[in-house]
Amino acid sequence: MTKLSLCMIVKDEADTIGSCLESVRDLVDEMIVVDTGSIDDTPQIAEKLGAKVHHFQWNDDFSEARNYSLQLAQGDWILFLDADEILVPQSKDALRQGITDPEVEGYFIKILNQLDYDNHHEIRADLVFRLFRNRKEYRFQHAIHEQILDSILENNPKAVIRVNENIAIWHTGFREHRIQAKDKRNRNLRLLQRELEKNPDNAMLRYHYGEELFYAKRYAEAIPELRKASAGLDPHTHFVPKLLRALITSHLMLNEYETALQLVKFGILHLPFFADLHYIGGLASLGIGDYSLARTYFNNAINTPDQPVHYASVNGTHSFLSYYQLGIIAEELMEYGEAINEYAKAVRANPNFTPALEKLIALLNPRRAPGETKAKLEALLRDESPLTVLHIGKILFQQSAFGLALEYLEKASKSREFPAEANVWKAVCLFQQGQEEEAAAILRSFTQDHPLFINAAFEQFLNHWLKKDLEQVATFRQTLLNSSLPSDIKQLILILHQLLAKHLSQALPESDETASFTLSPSCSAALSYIFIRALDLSEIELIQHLIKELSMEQLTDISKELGTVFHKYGYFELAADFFKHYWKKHPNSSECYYLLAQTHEEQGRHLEASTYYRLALACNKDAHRPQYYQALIRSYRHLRQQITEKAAQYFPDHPLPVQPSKEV
Amino acid sequence: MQPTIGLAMIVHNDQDHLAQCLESVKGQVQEMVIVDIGSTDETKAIARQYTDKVFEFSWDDDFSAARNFSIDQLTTSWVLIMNADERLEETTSGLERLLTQHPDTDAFCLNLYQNAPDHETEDTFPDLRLFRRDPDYRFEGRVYETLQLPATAKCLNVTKPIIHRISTPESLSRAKHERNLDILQRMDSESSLVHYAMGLELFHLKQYEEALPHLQKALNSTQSDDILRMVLIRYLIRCLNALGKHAEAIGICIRETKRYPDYCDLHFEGGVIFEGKAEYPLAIKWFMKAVECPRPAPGYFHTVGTESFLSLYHLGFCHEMKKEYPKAEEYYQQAITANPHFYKPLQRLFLMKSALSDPSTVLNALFDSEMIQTTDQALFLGELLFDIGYYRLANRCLEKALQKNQAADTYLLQQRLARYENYSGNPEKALHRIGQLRTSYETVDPETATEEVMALLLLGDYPAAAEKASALSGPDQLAETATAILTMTTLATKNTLSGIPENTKETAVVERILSIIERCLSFIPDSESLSETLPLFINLASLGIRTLTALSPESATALIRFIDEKTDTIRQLMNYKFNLS
Repeated sequence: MTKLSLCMIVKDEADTIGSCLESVRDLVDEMIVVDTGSIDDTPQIAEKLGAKVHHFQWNDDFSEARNYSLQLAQGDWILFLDADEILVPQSKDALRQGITDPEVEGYFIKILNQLDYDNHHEIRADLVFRLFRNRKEYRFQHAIHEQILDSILENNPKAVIRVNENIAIWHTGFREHRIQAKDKRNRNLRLLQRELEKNPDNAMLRYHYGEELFYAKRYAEAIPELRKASAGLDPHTHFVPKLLRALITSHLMLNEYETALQLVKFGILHLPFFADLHYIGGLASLGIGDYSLARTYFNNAINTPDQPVHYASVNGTHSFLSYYQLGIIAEELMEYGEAINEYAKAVRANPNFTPALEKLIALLNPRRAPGETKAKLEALLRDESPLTVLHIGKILFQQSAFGLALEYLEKASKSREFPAEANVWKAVCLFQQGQEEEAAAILRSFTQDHPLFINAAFEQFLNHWLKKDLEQVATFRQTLLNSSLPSDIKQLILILHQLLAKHLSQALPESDETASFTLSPSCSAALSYIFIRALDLSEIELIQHLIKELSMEQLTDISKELGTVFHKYGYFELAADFFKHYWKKHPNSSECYYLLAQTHEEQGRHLEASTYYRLALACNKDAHRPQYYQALIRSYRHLRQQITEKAAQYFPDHPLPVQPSKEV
Repeated sequence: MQPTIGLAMIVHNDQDHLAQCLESVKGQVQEMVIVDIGSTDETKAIARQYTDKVFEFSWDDDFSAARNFSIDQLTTSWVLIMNADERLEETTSGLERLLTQHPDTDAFCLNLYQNAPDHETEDTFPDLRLFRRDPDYRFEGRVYETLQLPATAKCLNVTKPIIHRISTPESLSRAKHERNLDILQRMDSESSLVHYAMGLELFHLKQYEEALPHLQKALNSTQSDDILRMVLIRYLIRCLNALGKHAEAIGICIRETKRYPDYCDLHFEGGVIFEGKAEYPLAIKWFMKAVECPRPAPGYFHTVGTESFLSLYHLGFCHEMKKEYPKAEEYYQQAITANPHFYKPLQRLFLMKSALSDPSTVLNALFDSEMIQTTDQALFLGELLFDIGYYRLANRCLEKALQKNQAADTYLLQQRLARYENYSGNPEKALHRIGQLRTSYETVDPETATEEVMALLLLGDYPAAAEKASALSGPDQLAETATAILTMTTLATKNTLSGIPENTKETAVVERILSIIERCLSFIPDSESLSETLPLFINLASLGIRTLTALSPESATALIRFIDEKTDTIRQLMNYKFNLS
C-alpha cells in the first residue's frame, strides 16, 4: 500500500488549519506540520487533530522550512497543502488512484482560488505542483515561490510529470483581512528581491516578483520586471499567460491604452484562445474610445472555448464580464434593446453578478413600467431561485420601484433565507404603496435588542413625517436622539421635526434648540433617500419647504444628485434650478449641461435642449461620450419634426423632405 | 564721367500697376523710356505723367525686339529693366551707389521676389536687370528674353535693392501665361530654352502632365550650374510632386543635394514630399537639414523661409502628426518668432493646444509667452477664434492686443471688436462702439453697419433694427441681408410676413437668414454670462426659424435641409471619434 504524507509549514493559522487537516485526515498516513513561530493555538489545534507538530526557526526562507518538513516525512508520496487550503472531497479517489501509478513521478493538480471583489466574488482556477514521490534528492529551491520541480527533473531527467485536474483544492486565502494581506505582500516582495539578487536570470522568479508588484498595485514597477522576465521565454512556458495578463493589465491601469493594445495583439498571436487577452483588449479599446474595436474584442472573448486551467483565466472574461461590457457599450450608444439583451446574457451566465442585474433592471424602467419590467425579467432570466428573487427585490428597492419591489420581496420572504434587513425594505415598500398598517407592524417587530432596531425606528420616524403626524414624529425623534446615531444625522432629525411643525403652523416647546445643519456624506445619503420617498408620494410642498429651510447654498454638494431626483420624478423646473446651481460651482461640467439639456427636452424646448447638448460637447474634451452626440442628434431630430409639422400646416399642398430612415 | 541710369520698360494694359512701379523707380533713374505694345486702356496716359519718352511699338510676338527698341531710345550710360507689375524696393543704398562701389562691373543681377506657388511666401532669384548701355548687349529670344553678354563682361549678384513682383489676380496671370504659351508654341520646339519656358508656363497653368516632359528635356540639356538649372530642378520637383510621382521627385532631391549640399530649398522640397506621404520621421530629417543650412547666397533660386520659418513650421507640423506635442510647440514657436507675419504656425499651434486643453488657457499662454508681437497676429487669431465660435475669446484677444500696444487701435480693430462684442452677447457694447466709430470717422463701412443692425436684432429691438436695415445700401449682398432682417423684424413686430421685393432673390435671403441662425447656434458662452447671453441667441435663432418655416415651402425645405446637414455632421463626428459604423 502506497503511503501518503501530508507536509505543511504554518504560522498563526488557527482559523483555517482545522478545516485543512480535516479534509485530508482519512486519506493520509501521517500529517507533518512544521510551525515557524505561531503565537496563536495553531500547533495545539493541529496536534488535537492528530498531526505531528515540529518547530522550525523561521529564517526568511520558505524552501528551508519546507525541506525540513520533507526530511521528517516517511511516506512514499508527499502532498503539500497550505493551511488556508482544503482538499475538495470528490478528489479523494483520484488522489488514491494517482499515487498508485508506478510510471508517474509527480502531479500538477487543480487549485480553485476564491477572490473577493467589492460587488462580487470570483473563483479563479490554476494548476500547482503539489503531489510527488518522496525521494531524498528532491528538495525545494528558492527562498520564495519555492520550486521542487526543477530539483526532480535535474535528478531524474526522465521523470514523468502529469496534470490531473480531478485532484483539486480550494484556496480561501485571498479573503483575509486587508492589513494581513498587505503585510504578507511586503514580506513576499522583500524575499523575492533577495532571491532575484542571487538569481538574476531566473525568469520564473522575476515573473513572480513582477506579479507580486502588480497585485500591490505598483504597476510602473511591475512592467519592467514582467518585460524582463518574458525576454527570450518559450511561449509555451506555463506562466506565460499569467505574465502576459499581469503585464497588459498593468499598462491598462496606467491608462497606457495604445501599448496595452499592441501587447494584446502580440499575445493573441501566441495564445489566440486566451479570453482574458481579448477582454483586456476590449477594455483598452474603450480607453481610446474605439467602440467598434471594443465590441470586436469582447465578442472574441465570448467565442473563445473553455479556458485551460493553467491560463488561470479570470472567471467571466469569456462569459458574463464580456456580456456586461457589451451591454455597457450598447447602453452608451443608446441601443437599449441590445443592452438589455447583453445584460440578460451576463446574468444568465452568472446569477451572482449583481452589476449586470442592476443595469438590466434600470433599463427596464421598473418604476414607471412595473408590469412590463416583470414580464421582461421573467422572459429574460427564467430564474425563480429564492436568492435571485431576493436580489431582484433588493435592486428594485434601491432603484425606488417600490411597487414591483414589494412583489418580489413578498415572494422572497416565503423562503427560509429571508434576511432581517429585507424585512425593513419590505416595510418601506408597503408604506409607499399605501399599506401603512402592515408596514408599521413589521417595523414594530424590531425590538430594542435587535441589531436593526435603529434602522426600523428611523423608518418609522420618516413614515410618520411623511404622513405629517407630528406627535408620532416627536416620539420617534426621542428614540433616535437617544440612540448611537452620529450627531449630524441627529441634527437632521431635529431639523425635520422642526420643519414639520412649521409646515403645520404648530408651535414647538421652547426647550428645543434650533438645529444646525452640516452636509456630511451620511447626511447626503439620508437626504437623497428622504427626497425620493417624499417625491414618490408626491409630497412636493413639504420638500420645497425643506429645501428652503436648508438653503441651496448648503445643498450645493449634492445639487446634482437632488436635481437628478427631481428630474426622475418629473419636476423639471426644480431640477433645472438644482442643475444651474451645481453648474455655478462646476462651470466646466459637461454632465451638467447634459442634465440641463434633458430638462428642456422633456418640456419640448428642443432649441434650448440642442444648445445645451452642444455645450456639453464643447466644454470638456475628455468628457465626450457617444451619448452626448446621440442626444444632440435626437434633439435636432425633434426640432426638425416641429418645423416640418408647422410648415405642413402653412403649406399643406407642398411635399417636404422626409426624415432620413436612421434610428432616432 | 558720372554714370547715368535709364529705365526701359515694355507695357501693355498695365493701368492698374504702372503708377506704383514708376513711383518706386523715379528717384533712382535720370530717364524713362516706356514702350507700349498696344494698350487699350489708360496705360499711355499714366506713362506720360512720368516721362515724355512714351513710344508705341508694333507687336510681333517678339519681346526681345521690343526690349532692344526700348534700350535704343535711352541716352543714359546704364539701363534698368523693370516690368509694370514690379516695384523697386529697399533702395536706401540706391542704384547709383552700386555703380560707384563696383566700377568694374558691367552688369548687375538684382534679386527678384515673386509669389511662390502654394507656400504663402515668396520665391527669389537673381535676374539681370541693370547693365551698361552697349551695342553688344542685346536681348535675344521671342519670349523669356535673355540679355546676351560678351564673355568678357563682368556680372555681379547684389542683395539690394530688390525687385518685388506683386501678385496679380489669377485671371490676369492666367491670361499672361496663355499668351506666352501661345508664342512659345510657334517657336523652335527643340531649343532647350523653349522647353524650359514651356515647362514653366504649363506649370503655372497647372497643366502638370504636359509640363513634365518639357521640364525634363530642358534639364537634360543644361550642364552648367546656373540659375536656369536651379529653377528647373525646383519646378521639376514641384511638378512631379503635384503628379504624385513622389519617388522620382525624391530621387531628384537626393541627387541634387549631393551636388548642392547647402541648398536649403532642396532639403525643404524633400521634406515636403515625405510629409505629403505621411512619412514624418523622414520628413523631419530633411527639414532639419534645411534649417541647418545657412541662407543661400544671392545666386540661388530661393524660396524665402525654407531656411527658417517655413521649415520650422513644417517641423512643427510633422511632430504634431506624430503626436509629439511639446516638440511641435517648440517648433511652431520658433517659426512664429522667425516670421510673425506667417500665420500658419500660429494657427496650428493654437488649434493643437486647444485640443489638449482649452482655448482660453491657450490664448493667455500665447500672450504671456510673447508669441503675439504684432497687431496683425492678434487680428488673425481673433478671426480664428471667431470662426470656431469663441466670440468672447476673440474679444479678449483684441483687447489684449490693445493693452499691449496703443498704436494697434485702428478702424479695423474697432470694427472687429464690435462684431465680437455682438456675438459674445454684448450687443449694447457693440452698439456703443459703432456709435463712436460713426462719430470719429463720420461714416462706417457696410459690414459694420450690418453689425449694428445685428446688435439691435439681438437686443430684440425690432423696430430700430428694421429702421437701420432699411438704411443699408450697397452691393447686392447687403440688400439681401437687409431684406432678410426686415422679413424677420416684420414677423416679430407685426406677426405677418412681408413679401420679398422683386429684384431680390428669395434663395439669397434664405441663405442670409440661415447664416444668422448658424451664428446663433454656434455660440459658446462664457460660463459667467451664460444665463444672460444664451437667451439672446436662442430668441434670435427662434425668430429665424419661425420666419423660414412660414415664408415659403422652399424656405421651409431649406431650413429642414440645414438641420439635416447639421445632424449629419454630428453623426459623422461621432462615428469618427468612436469608430462606429
